[in-house]
Amino acid sequence: MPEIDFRLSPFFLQALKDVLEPVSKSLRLQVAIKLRATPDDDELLEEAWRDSLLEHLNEDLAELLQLLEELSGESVLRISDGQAESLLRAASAIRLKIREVFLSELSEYDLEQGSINVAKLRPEQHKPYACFGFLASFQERLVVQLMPDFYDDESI
Amino acid sequence: MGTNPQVEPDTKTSVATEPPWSVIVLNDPVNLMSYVVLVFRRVFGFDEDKARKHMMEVHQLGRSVVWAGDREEAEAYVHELQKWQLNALMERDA
Repeated sequence: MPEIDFRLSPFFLQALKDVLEPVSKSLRLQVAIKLRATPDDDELLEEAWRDSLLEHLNEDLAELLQLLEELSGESVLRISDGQAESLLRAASAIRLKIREVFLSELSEYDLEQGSINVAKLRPEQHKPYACFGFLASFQERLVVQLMPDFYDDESI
Repeated sequence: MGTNPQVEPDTKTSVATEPPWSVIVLNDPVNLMSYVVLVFRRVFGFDEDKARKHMMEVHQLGRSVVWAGDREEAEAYVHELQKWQLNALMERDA
């Protein structure tokens, strides 16, 4: 059972909430990934497909927002493997959305390498970028617990 | 006028086999390598070496064919990969 030890300042926790809550709201209506047309261009299938993805995504996001509510300055969270997987998916969706909405002008290479010059970000990008990075670290820590043999944490 | 020879029905049947559908995962700059390996292991039951091989293909070549087979199963796999927020699609093999 994954166990994660958090030490977050109240300021950082509030910054996370400031980004996560509106981004989560937008994901209630629109999936984070790019959906391609079905092979037959079947509109009914596409709608059912999207609705099903949204339903799963909202369950995952609810798990993440609930966790955020439970976090205080220092917390040790014990979560089931199923919850951990749900949190991983939610974190991934949020990071994709942050990239799309706030960090779209950053190059794929810089994002993959983590070589963003924070000093060059606009003020309104600071919180989303901090959240983007925090969720990546959170995912890494979950993956290490679920798959202890994997230690490579670069982005693809 | 001669009688028509009785024609034996052709009992050979040909089974039309559709070309398989491929499930493809595309690169993205957001999802972590370790996360992608975990997803491949969870969704397809790959061992770690196979999951890593496909993850590296995605990373280095921009895409990897992770599964091929009939359409219904391909749809289910694409849907599952999308639930995990991977950029997945299916294509019919030529």
